[in-house]
Amino acid sequence: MGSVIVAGLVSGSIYALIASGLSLVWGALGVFNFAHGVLLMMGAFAAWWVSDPAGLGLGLFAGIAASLIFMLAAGSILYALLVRPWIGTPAAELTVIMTTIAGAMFLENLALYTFGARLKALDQIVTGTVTIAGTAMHAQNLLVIILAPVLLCSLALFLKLSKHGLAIRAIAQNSEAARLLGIKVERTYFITFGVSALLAGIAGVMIGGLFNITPSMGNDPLLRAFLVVVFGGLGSLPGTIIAAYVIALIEATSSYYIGIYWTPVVLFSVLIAILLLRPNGLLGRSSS
Amino acid sequence: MTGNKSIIEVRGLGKSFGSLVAVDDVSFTIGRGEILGIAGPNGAGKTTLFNLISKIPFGPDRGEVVFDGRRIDRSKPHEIFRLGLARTFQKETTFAKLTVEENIRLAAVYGGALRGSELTSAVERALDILDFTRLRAEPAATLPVYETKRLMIASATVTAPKVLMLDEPASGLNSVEQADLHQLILRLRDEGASILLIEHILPLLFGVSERVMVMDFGKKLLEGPPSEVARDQRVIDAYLGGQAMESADAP
Amino acid sequence: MRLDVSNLRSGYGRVEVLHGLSFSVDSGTAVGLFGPNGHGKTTLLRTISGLVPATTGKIVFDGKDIAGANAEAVVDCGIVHVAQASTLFPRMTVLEALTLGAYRKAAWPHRRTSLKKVFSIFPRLAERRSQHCRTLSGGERQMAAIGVGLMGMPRLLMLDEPTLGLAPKIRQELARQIGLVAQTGVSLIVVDQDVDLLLGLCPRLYLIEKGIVALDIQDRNELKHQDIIQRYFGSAA
Repeated sequence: MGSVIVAGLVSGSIYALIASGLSLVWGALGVFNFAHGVLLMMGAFAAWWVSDPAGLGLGLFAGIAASLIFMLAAGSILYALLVRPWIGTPAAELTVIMTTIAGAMFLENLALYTFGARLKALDQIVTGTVTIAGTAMHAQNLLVIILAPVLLCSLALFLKLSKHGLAIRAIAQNSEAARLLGIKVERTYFITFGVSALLAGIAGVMIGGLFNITPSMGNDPLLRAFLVVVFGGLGSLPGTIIAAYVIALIEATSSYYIGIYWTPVVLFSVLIAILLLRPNGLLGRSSS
Repeated sequence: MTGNKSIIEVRGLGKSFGSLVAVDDVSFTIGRGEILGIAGPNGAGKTTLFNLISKIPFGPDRGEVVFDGRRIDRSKPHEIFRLGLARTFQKETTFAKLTVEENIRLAAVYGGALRGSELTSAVERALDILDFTRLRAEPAATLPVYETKRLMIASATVTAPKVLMLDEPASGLNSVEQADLHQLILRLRDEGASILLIEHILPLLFGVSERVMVMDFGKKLLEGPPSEVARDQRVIDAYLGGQAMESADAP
Repeated sequence: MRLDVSNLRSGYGRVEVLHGLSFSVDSGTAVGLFGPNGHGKTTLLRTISGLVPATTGKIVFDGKDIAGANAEAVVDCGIVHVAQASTLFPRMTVLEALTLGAYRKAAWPHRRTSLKKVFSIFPRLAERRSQHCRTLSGGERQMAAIGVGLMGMPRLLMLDEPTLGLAPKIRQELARQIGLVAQTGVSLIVVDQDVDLLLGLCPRLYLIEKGIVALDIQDRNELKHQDIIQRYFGSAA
């Protein structure tokens, strides 16, 4: 039982990080970034290439630092090429879905070409095992379980209290009124996308340390994140975070007791049931 | 007492949102063919009162609403409309891409379940009473403020409701339009509707209402003829400020 | 803080709404704009604030032509536009919305003082400071929108129908407060249907009809309300 909870918390933390990034961009820019998964993958590969002897061999911490910087750059370029040209146009939502899917396919294949398909892994930040309340777990798992909520709380506090956080929320809720306050909408879009890319990269590094790194590693997490965002309620960050952990725990419990094969069935059944009761997601609101 | 002189009887109506009491034990009646004005400071609960009676978007927590002899506080919103109680809203509720005539027709077909010749004559009647024959084919999106409000009223009255609840229809109108609205309300009353009017524009409120009910902090403060209400010190303190006297006397 | 608008043309897509409009606001004075609905008053404010691009013409504020500047730049100059019937930020609290009102660089350091001032003008907002904007009544939202505008410490404040939906007592109080704001040297443009309000507040009125200035009332004593209504609304009825 204990190991199920640990597995659920670890996955939940990762899903929450990924989904929060998606939710931010959706809320502020009104578009859905299908390249979010490859951003995750690029974060992992960047960390790997800088840290691993097969690449630059500079060690893990250099790798993580480089990855974070790289994510900000990659996010900016992605935003400029695939998203910004279409913001404000009538079919922005649909167009950006197409452009980001295209970008995702391109980058995934680029990674395949550059790094090859062989599985790689990142060194763990902390090694060894830890036992809490009678349950043994990898120290890295514990790190993820603690670090993700800390990051997410910081994000929530940033949105709630800081000037730029308020600006991001303002644009999401009434972009014209936001402009009339002097909020630099363009720059805020940029910052939001950057934060989103950073979150994706961190998730990538975590997954890389716990599991494997492959060019297609971002696909499944993206799908899960999509579920999380819809289930938690579009535009609601608290809803997204709660949904992430709920979905992860359902997955972990179902995998352990019923088997991995049936887990998607269980998961989707639960989601469908909840959406029937609350069509806008757990904490979502109807579109206004 | 069955009270068949009154078309609506509201008894002890209440609604709370958590610890905020929006409407607190409000009771009143409105007679057939009467025009009742509802006034009060911003946030007093006037629109919430309309919401509770029409059950759009929610009904009351406590109390009863009796409409033409039957209780409606348990009924569904569309049933209430079919029974003959219609309302307008503060914000714009027209369908922008449809024409004036299509908007009115929509209300008659879906709200009133009218068909065939009954439908056509109801729509023509509404266009006539609301002065829309010239504009019938104009898209609703192109209508200026007053015409938009008239369209909302037309959609609400196409089914010849027994009670019409108007929520601040005069806001944003200039004095000529306000005078026209005054006449329109009287015309609607003459066609057989009792009217509840929430309004801040005092010349209209005091000019067209036979009785005025004032709300404050969710409660009914008092009720009476306009001239009395306008002179009441509590109303002056809470709501009217210094303008009281002139507005009540001006027709 | 003088504003001079000359021969301004603007509109939406292919529909021109302002057909060469010219008017001015002397530094530290209040100007009232009235006229039939749909004739360009709101479009004029939106063109000045940068939401609608000017096709041709000049908007000179404090010596600088800001026609064509984007909304953010216009706000940075100290021009604050309080839009008509704004829904504000539904999921933010009143306090958060007010704080955001001080976003522009010059206003941000003074936000605590500004907040106190706004709460003294609108005590109701202080009561509701932790409530979400969407739970406010129409009139309360109106007060909040004006409060948000004041938080920006404007040099020119443009109010689009500020008394819309407000109870009589609040309307009078608001008129008084706007008058106080005008006295502090802030230039003011007020658009409203309540001509009495404008006459009480503004030494100069402009009637805007069909996208241009139809009448420039330089001395409000020269015309009474009744005359205005009779002469300029009577024909439109």
